[in-house]
Amino acid sequence: MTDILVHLLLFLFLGTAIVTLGTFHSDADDARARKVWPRRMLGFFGGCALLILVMLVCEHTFAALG
Amino acid sequence: MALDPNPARRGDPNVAALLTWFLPGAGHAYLGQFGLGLALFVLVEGLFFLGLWLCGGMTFEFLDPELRSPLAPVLSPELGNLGGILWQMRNYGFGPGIVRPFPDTIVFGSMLTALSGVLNGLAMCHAHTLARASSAPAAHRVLLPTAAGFVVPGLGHLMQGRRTRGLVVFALLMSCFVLGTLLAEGSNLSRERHFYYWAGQFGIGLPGMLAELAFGSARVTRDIAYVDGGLVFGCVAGLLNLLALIDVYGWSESAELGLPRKSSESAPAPAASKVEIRL
Repeated sequence: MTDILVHLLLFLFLGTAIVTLGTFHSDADDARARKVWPRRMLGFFGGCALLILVMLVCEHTFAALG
Repeated sequence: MALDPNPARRGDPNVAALLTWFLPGAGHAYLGQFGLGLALFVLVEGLFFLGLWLCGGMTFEFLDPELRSPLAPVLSPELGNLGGILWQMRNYGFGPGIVRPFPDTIVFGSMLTALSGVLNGLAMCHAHTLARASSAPAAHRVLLPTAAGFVVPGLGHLMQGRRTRGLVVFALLMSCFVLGTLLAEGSNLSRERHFYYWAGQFGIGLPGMLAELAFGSARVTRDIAYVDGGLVFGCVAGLLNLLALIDVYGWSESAELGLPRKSSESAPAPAASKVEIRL
């Protein structure tokens, strides 16, 4: 359980860096970047959560050994 | 008759950048800056051949046989100096196919050849800007913060007066790099061990080089629990710094050349203008 928590925290940290630098790259203006940052964070982590869900369903359906 | 929309243009920016990619300084010579072109040629190729001499041309022998492919030079920082890497691959390639000892200076030498690639990348940006700028100092002003961003992540933004952005870039990227190094217990600081991850990590710039010179190539005697995580953190930090450098370059370019700043917001359609040309 601790291992999953550590992985999750590391992923959150790296995801934040990726989204923030991506926002800086797409918006040169700070005010505009600040405005779109929360939406981008939501999109990134929401998308990742969806991907995890799909992978878990696939694993459970096609690759379960139990 | 086609009219040049920018009368200050000295030549085709793409041609200048491509020439520089093949031969450092050639783009500047094409734009009439012979002295600068010669200085860049000496600097970039000097670093490259010094590095090549120090590593005995054995950089790509770091790769295990199954990882050797034509993609190897494409995924290395030396690609920025295309002429150099082509010369190296033609003359040294992946070595004679037998295991042989590396020279003691291979780490530093390999770092210098990689640095020559990054420097030539910056020279390409400079040539591209110079072709469009009104004066050479304007092109220097575009390049200087970009180069500073490679020396220390975020420094370029600070030089442009974008303090908050610079501090955020510095804090995020440096903590990613340091955390990655701690997770991998320093094993990420070795091109020999992790050739491709190292290439991405090289984008973090001077901090990465100093860390490798100080703590790199440490002996690994046991399994490192989070080595994969550490490698990803280091590599992503380097790649994200390249994104930050593009942001710095774009900002300076907009300021010096009067171009619109990059925004995710859709730009309004330009108003139709009527240009009257009197002959």
